[in-house]
Amino acid sequence: MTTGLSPRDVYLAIANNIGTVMKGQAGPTRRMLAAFVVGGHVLLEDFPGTGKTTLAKVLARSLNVEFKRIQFTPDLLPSDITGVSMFDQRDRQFHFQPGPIITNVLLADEINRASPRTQSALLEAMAEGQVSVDGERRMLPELFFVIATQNPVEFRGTYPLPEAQMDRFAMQLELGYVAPADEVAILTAQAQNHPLEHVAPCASAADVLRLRDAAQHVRLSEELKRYIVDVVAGTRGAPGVQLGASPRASLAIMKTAQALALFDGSEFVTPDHIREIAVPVIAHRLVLDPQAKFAGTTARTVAEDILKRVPVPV
Amino acid sequence: MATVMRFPPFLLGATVLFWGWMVGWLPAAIVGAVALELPRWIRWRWEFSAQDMNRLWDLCGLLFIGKAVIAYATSDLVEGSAHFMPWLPVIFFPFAAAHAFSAQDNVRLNTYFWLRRKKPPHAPSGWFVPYWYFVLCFLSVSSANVQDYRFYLGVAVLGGWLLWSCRGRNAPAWRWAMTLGCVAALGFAGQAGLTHLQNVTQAVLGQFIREFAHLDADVAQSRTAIGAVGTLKLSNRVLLRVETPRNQPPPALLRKASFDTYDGSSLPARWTTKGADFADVSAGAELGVWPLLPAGDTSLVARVTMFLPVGTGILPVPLGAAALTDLLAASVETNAYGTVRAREGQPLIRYTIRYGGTASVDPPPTPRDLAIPEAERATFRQVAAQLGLAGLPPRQAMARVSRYFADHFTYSRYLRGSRQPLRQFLLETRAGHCEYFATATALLLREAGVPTRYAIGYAVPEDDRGGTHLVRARHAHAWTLAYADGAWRDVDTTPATWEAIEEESRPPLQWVSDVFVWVKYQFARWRYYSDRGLLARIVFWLAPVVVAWFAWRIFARQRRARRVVTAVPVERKSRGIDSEFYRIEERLAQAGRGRRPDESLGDWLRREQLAEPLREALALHYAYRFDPRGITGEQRRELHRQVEQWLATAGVPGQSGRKSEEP
Repeated sequence: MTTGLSPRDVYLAIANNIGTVMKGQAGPTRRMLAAFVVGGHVLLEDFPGTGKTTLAKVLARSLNVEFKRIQFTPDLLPSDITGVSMFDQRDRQFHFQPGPIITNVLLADEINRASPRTQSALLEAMAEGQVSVDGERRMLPELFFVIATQNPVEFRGTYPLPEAQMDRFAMQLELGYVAPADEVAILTAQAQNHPLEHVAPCASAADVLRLRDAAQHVRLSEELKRYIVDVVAGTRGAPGVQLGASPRASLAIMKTAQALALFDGSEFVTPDHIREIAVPVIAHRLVLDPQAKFAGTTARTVAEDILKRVPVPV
Repeated sequence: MATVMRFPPFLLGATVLFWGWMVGWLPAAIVGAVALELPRWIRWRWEFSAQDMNRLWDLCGLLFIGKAVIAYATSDLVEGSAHFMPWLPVIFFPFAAAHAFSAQDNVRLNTYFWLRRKKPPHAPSGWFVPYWYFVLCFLSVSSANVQDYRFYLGVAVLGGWLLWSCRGRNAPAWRWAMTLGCVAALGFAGQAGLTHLQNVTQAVLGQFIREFAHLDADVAQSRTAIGAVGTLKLSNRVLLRVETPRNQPPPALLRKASFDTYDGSSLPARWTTKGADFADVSAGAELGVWPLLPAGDTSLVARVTMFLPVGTGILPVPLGAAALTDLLAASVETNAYGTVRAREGQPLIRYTIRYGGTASVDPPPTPRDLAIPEAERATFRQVAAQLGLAGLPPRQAMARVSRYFADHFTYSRYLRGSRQPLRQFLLETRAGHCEYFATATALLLREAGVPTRYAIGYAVPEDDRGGTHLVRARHAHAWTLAYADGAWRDVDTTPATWEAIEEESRPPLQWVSDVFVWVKYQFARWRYYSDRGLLARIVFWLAPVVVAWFAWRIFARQRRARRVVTAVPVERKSRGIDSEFYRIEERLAQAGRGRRPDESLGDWLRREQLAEPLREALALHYAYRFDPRGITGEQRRELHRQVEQWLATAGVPGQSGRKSEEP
């Protein structure tokens, strides 16, 4: 089913739908949708109660797609995610019971609470678009989007994601606290019941795939490709950085910048699109050396510094 | 767009010309100046890689070190730097020229420092070559030491030229010029004042230093340790090298000075002279020959080598020295107390002593050579009577005194301290160091009617290392000169065991410092006495080889690099660079609302709250610059129109930009 809307209208419809619930979060919403459209996954890291789960839910509801949620705990097993083959007494055969991962939008809540074994099962699925159960490959739906959340304040009993797995997320977003006026609006909206219940689907999976196709056709000049590469390469020798960003980061910047250009109704990418997306895409991939960490440097400030240092094409 | 550093056109060439004019190498400077400014007219450039620049810098560094070594080895520090400094722009010219002809704007910091070479380039910053080359030329010119208005005028004009290019745009030019004029005038007055101050200070201080720190102190008096308390300590530093033919013993004693008046009124006691002026020794017919006695005995030979800090000082010689040969010095002088002094020799001075007879440069004795201080008279009268010295011929008196000290006295470096040290030495302890023996002998012989003097210098040790005897600080010695049978003679009554006792104080690791001293000595000998032209010749022949090797490494890479470049053309920023939108940027920059280098156009316009009025123009500009498909002629005209309209209507202060042609 398609709604017959233009790609930009599809985006605006989804963004408006989300905006009715997520007050004052237009920027993060726009960036998350850019990752969603190009098939990247998003890691939301923020304090409890800032709307991480709500954002994932409202996205799933806005699209007429399947949504599942996994609450990660230390005793969660890979089979709890991927599914398991059960023996049926009646026909004396094994039948595959698909796990929650076989869906379109997956909310992996508090991903850093599960053991590394379980985390890697999810991350394999994210990278390959498939799961292997009992030696059999099972493809995930074409529209597969993971929103993982983690909480930056609690570390007891958690398993921080290894660098290689952080790299699988297209970007890391922070929602942050909203402005007082927006918070008042949230109170007003939720005085009677949760606005989430009134969200109606406004687009289909096919619309999103059409959006993805259109984003791939957004044009990007050689000069701006070079700019992306310069920014990413800048992280590799930056002071205080042990491990810089990979070429996968360059790819992610290019694709999400294309999506942003599409959202703006532009047929080509401008430097502003690249600059808008560069920090969320790069920062979580950097590994700082301990000395820099103790000096108060964060990956975000390093990425921002690099963005300031590399000359912008104008 | 990267910020490109600017250097005023033709300033570097003018500076090189100024350098050539001042140091007197104008033809070379003209060639260099043309070479540095030529890239303004020609279009092609070399694609030097960072590694090429590193190599080129290494080459310049090598030339720098080579030239510095030659300059130091062939002359002293002051003269050497005067020869060296004018070469600086020549040495670094290859690097400056390579930069001028290269496509890069800047040279990374990593090139200049070896320690940073391994690290990744930190930022696109570096040292801009024309700036430091400009400073280098100035440094070089200042060493040429042209002390007239030309130098100051040149520096002021060239410095002003550079400052003009980076003056503040807000102040009017006349105010800038007046300020610069004032600064230049103040600077001129200041340096004139400084020069005057330096002359005055030198005149005042020179006399003071000469009296205070210099030579005459040693000759006018000798402070002894007689009457002091403690233990005599002397270092093991090698002071002199005495070389003699293999079958000939070295001179036992080398005298530095002698004294005729004992002053025990204040302790520690001193020996002094009445002060004697030095008189020049007339140089011999051959170079380096200085005859001290017209017809002296020259049967014995000893060659002495020693460090003499400024090439001026006392030369230790044996009593019967008749002539000094192989001595390179401006002048040699002697005084009435037998001291020989050289002026303006090499810092490592070397001389051959020819000696053998009993005649010496010292004149016959005076009444002062027989004077005994009143306070000591009773003691010496008592001892002289005990030895029966009265009425003995001088030679016999000397022999008896020598035997007396040899039989009854011991050597000791332990200083007891006393109100009457000589009395204590002669009658109680009968132990002391050489100064006690020399003083007691001198006064005792005077009591016997023999004129005597107190001599200081070195006792040359007998240990023979292939005819070379090392005289160390602990071999410093004092003894007596006695006048008998018409000549002065050495009378050394210190017990012969003294050298053995001093030898015990030799530290176990003496050889380590000896090795260092030996190396320093060998280097100095090579520096001052060998054929230094050899080094210059070696470097002269080696330099082209090194330069050729570096050039080959750089240009071999260059050819490869260019082949690669022609195969895969590097995309240059060219499309859309003539967009009219830059005029808006220029206009706003003039109004102090310029874009920061880290801002994109979009960010900047949002900051300046111009995003909405300029939205369409920016979109067209972005399409022109960044859409690979480009824009149509119609859109291009629209961009032009929008920019013109905005420039015409916007109330931004500043001059209007130049008109651009229709595309």
